[in-house]
Amino acid sequence: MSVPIQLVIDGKQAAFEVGYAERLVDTLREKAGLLGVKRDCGRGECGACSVFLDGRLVSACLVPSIQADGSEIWTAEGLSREGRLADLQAAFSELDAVSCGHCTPGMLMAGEALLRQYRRPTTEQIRHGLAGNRCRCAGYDRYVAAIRKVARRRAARRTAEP
Amino acid sequence: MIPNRMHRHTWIGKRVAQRETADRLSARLAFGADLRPDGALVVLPVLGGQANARLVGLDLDAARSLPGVQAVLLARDVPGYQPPGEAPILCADRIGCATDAVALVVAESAPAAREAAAALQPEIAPDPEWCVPADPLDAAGLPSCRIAELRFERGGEIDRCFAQGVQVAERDFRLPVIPARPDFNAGACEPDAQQRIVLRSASRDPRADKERIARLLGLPEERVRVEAPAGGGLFDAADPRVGLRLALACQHTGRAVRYLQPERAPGPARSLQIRLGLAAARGGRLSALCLRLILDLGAYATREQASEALRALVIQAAGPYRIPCVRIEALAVRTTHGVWSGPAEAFYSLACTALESQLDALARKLGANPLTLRRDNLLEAEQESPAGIPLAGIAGGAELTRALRRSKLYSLRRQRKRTRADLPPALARRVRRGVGLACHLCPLPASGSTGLALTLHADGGARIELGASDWGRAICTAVSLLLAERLDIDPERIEVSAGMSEVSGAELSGAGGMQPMARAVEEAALAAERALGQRARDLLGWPPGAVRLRAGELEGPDARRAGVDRLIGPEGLRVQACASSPETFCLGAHVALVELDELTGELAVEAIEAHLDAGLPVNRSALERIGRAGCALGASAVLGTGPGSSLDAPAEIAVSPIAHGGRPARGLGGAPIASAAAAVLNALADATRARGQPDGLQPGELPVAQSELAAGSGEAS
Ligand code: FES
Ligand code: FES
Repeated sequence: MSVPIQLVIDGKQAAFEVGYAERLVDTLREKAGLLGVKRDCGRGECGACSVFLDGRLVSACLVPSIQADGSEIWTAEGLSREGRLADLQAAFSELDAVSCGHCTPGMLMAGEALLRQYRRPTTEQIRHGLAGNRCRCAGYDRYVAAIRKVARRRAARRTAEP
Repeated sequence: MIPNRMHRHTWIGKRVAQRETADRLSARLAFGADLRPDGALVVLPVLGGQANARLVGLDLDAARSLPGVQAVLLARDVPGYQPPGEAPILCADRIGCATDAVALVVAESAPAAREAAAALQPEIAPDPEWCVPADPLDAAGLPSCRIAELRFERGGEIDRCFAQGVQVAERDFRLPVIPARPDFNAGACEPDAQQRIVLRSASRDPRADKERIARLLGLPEERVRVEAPAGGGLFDAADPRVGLRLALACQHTGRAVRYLQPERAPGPARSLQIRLGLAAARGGRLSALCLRLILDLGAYATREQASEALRALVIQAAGPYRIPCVRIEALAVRTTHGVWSGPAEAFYSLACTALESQLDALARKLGANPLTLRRDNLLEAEQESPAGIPLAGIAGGAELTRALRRSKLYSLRRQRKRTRADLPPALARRVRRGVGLACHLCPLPASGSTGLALTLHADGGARIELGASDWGRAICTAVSLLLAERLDIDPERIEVSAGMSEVSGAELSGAGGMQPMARAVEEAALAAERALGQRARDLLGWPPGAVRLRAGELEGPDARRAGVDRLIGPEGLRVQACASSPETFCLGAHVALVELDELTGELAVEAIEAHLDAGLPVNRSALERIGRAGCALGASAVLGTGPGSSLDAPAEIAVSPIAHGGRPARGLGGAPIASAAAAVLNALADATRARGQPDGLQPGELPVAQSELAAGSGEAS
């Protein structure tokens, strides 16, 4: 049995037929072709599948697709616009916070969620905010540094704006 | 000649972002599990679910009659040869571990494959003929489960040496279980126009995988090609059987296929037990080492793999110290645990912890500074390690000691700054701070050969195709820096692709790290110069003599020069090179600063310094990144299993290469991780030392149980 659902993914409308037990990560990867949403543990432990669901950071492997019907989803693929890296991506690059890149899409979404929650997140807040995202090969200190750097840049931009 | 420090480098030693970073950041880089060939069927393994069992029946008709099912493959469908002892691609009779597959479903879609797998209802019965234990200690008692042994003794009767020691430390260490991980580096396989089977799946050695696939499928090798896509995350999770199963399904159906992970999480995998005793003579000279080690290799390992794994562990556990009297007994056993798919760093961590915690214990008994005790006993280059290995190419103990003397963290220990000055007094009393040091000696095994193909273009640019995989360790970037340095061109003008078993029909060997890669780059550059020199003689009438390629020009005898565009046609000049490297070693150390909350027993790793000998550091950025990741992984081995979270990771990490003194470029192996856990545990002991408990808390098991931390912190307070 499948059920029709509607989603807005990275700003684009999409409709799918999904099974009752189907998880959002599988709908995004297998039906929407968004392979940048990674599926690793499949049980909420690694954060590789992190996406925004109506503005909230979720592990897409824990969300039944049916429950997401009518929602707006943002994935890491939607962060860069017209081939230009977003500020957080650029900061990851500048601070060499990417190694194999497998955790990177999830880590970026978790970082972006932090930056939306706190204007100037502290190191402690960032470490807590990233606790659900596992990285095996880059260490975490550069993620913390990159997020802090972006927070500073965004704050400076806000101040500069009239 | 491989460039060394006497040479002023233009590109080597720079901080360079690794290639494909933009693709990684924009989530466009396709890993094995992201490959979706057009019209691909899905391949789903059906697991047996228990060990020491036998497959009794499968409802093949029920599964095959379901819509969308293309095939259900069994062991008897494997046409080629699988040697006994190798992990079976599909089990015919004996099921050695719960994650062995008994069948492969090949279907049009994932739901169809899952439905067919459920319909198969494998009937599995315990097989009394097989009684391999799950517990490695039980397995050690069964001759049939002992796969490899390593014994080494020197310097006289060990009991007498221990009896003569003025101070002795001895205890047991355990790594009870490392959970295996699901394998998400799966891939895809498809037939190509030349009737070859082309496998794209995570592979450390594409050439070796190609050979194995050809053997298993009963095909000539030229009918198989392997291309390793980006691998990632939990590197060691790549089960070599994934690629073999894909190739089997592709051969059987003649169609493109991709892998579907079975939903069931793999069971526990492998454990390690160590008993280590250490004695010191008067004056703090180490006098004896007794090491016993049992390594659980799971259900499948060949004698060769087992011997190699044992040797590497023993070298690490016996450490980089001069010890005259040594006895080592190491055993690798077969158990019912899964095919290896867990992180090896946990092993390095325990091996190092066993030795280094005992060294600290001895230092306390002798009233010596831990660094002084190490300085007085560290080996120098070319000396023989306690495991009987002559150490070629290491930074000596003197170099390491110099680096450690400059350690900012270690100087905190000398200040005996045991409480946090930045906290209010009431809180500060509750937080105990400790600093710990641990050294390591990590083997970088002799590499099989590494092959590459170099194409020089008429415009001065170049392309390199590598047999080895990159997997996010920036090997492609390093190769481009090495070649750029050698040819004096901009690395941006060098295109690099990795992970191929062959290029244009020519075989590339794949295994190996930085050291053979550096040699292969040099060999390729020399081969290109030889070929260009010949062309210069044929086309331009140059006299015989040495030529050198620099900045897109060939420099020849009599100061002659010619642009390569005069010698290279539009197809470019293509050469191949191959190199291997001898076994070498990394000597280094970690220093850790920890804080233990006396009330909650919460342990925080505040900072770690890694002092690593990487030989000639080709790309400092990659070196630091790998070093930082190692520190985080090592620290997380103390607190949990697998890669820890950002909360377990050290808040501050510093990585310093040890002065290289002209050594060639080489990798780091397990060195970035090896002594990090040991340093954290020595820091914990330092933090919890108190009157009545002079040794502090010294857990013998990784990860450390929270209850032990809570109890230890309570006692210390
Ligand atoms: S795949 Fe969703 S949290 Fe790991
Ligand atoms: S960069 Fe490899 S897992 Fe994070």
